[in-house]
Amino acid sequence: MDTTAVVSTAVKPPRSRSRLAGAFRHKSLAIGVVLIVIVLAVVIIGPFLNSHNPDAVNPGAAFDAPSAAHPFGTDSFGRDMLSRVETGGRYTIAAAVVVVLLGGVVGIALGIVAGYFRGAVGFVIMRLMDLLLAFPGLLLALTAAAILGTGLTNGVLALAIIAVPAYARVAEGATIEIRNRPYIDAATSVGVNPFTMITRHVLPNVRDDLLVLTSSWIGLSALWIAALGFIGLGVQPPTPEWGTLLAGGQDYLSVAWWITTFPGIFLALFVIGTNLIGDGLRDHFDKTL
Amino acid sequence: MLRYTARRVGALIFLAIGISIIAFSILRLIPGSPAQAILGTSGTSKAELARLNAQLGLNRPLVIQYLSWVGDALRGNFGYSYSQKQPVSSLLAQNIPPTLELIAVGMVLTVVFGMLIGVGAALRRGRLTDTALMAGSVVFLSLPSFWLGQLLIQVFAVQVHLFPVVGGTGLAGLTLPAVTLALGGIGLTARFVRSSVIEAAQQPHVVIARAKGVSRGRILLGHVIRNSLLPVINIVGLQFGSLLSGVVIVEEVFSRNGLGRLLVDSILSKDYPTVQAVVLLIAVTYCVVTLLVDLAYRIIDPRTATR
Repeated sequence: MDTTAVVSTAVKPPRSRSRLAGAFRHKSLAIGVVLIVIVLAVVIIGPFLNSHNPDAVNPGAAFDAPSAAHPFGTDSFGRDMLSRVETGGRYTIAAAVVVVLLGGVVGIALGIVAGYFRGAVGFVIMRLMDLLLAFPGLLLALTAAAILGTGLTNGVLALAIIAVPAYARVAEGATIEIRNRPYIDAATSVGVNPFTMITRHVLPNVRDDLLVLTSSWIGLSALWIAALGFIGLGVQPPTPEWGTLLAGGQDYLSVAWWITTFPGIFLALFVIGTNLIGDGLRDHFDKTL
Repeated sequence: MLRYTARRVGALIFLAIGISIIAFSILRLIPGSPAQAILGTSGTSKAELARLNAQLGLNRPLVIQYLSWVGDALRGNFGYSYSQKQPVSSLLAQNIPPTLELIAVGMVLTVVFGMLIGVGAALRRGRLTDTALMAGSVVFLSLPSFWLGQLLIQVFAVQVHLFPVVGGTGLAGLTLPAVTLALGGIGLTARFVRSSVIEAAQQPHVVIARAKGVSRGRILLGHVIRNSLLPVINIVGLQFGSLLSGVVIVEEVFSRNGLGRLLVDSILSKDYPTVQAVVLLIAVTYCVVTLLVDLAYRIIDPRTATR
């Protein structure tokens, strides 16, 4: 074995696969993964196994209680709730993932730039993030929805705006912390340019924090896209998004409990799953707790 | 402390200016002319549009428009709601009290139950009770409030006629909405309190007290819980924000009057002056409360000033 091989094995970080396997020893992570796998299986595979069309209206079968033909019952238009829950999950979960991707990419880029270069650029970026954070929770998304209008795309954009400052803050904090370490000075002194520095040395180091943030934000985004759909400012009926399904059953709570119960259970399981995964990852990465 | 307060108040003023610019922009960023948007689709003659344009000064420079809007807002004049046929300020006056009521009860529930569960879990750390309480907390903070509200209506109002289904007034009508609003915060607070208590219990002075022979109960009350309460003040500020945003959904589920429902209704009916006023009011209130919490924290725990 020559010297370079020895050096490269010596500095190689521990294999990420074995690290993740170790993380599975955390109960919350394991339970979270199981929940998410169940929900995703129902949402992804379910529609292929179900003969009902989620949009097929059948006035004769309105408000049918759960039965062998309709395991989750039917809604006020006689549509099969099982197929609507399955298809609806695709909208809710896909929207949540896109929200996190959009908000995450923009937020991480802004945060790293602010943390790495600091100075006036960093100051302006982070004060803008503070301004966005001044709007509690959904308020910013509602403001955006007032401007953009309703619908799936606008709802996703509105929520992505909320995710941006959350990611920017974490990325900035982690970048500043790493920037002050000696090895960054060492890399600068041998002439590594900022772009390489960020992609090679900063990004891999903020990865853990961002992974934790992302798993809870996917759940939160699912919750919020459904909330927007529920209050009528997100996905519009008849699209079977989980939030619109819950809104559609709101008027029939006393006659048809199944319309709201099943979409709610799946949304809750999904959010619980993402939160448990986030907790598990946090425990795994953060040895201090 | 004085310098810190002055700096924070200065930052708050800049933040409030930023918020007001965003709220002001709502009406300018929507597609189409603002006057058309304010009047809505009904009854829009050319003369009416021209009159409103002149009245709102929409033909003046944007900066002047902004300044006059802010000036009016500071004097409590938020314009006229064409969809509700009354001044926005009187809409606000009607809707602020029920929302404050809901948030106040929600906050009390959050703090009381969050602390009880958190301290309970910390005391039984690593045992079954701890696991059960923490699992419950994750479920609480993950449940969609709009679904939880529906479940509570089904169980307690439809099945067990314990509470009025919707629109009830007084304490009975407030119970279900407040529980729905608070449950997520209870979960978050409980987790926070638990780790805070555990951290406080590991401080050297607790070990010394124990070595001196102070009783477990006195150590717990006098040394552990007292110290662990400090960070909880912070979470109260954060919780206020999530309660402020949570009322939007809770008021909608329970058909309760309030700022949240006013905001959603006015977005849906394109009543933009009302949207602007509610957005401005909620965001500025949130910032002021955050500042007050930070200042209170400094007074209660002067150590944070040196950190």
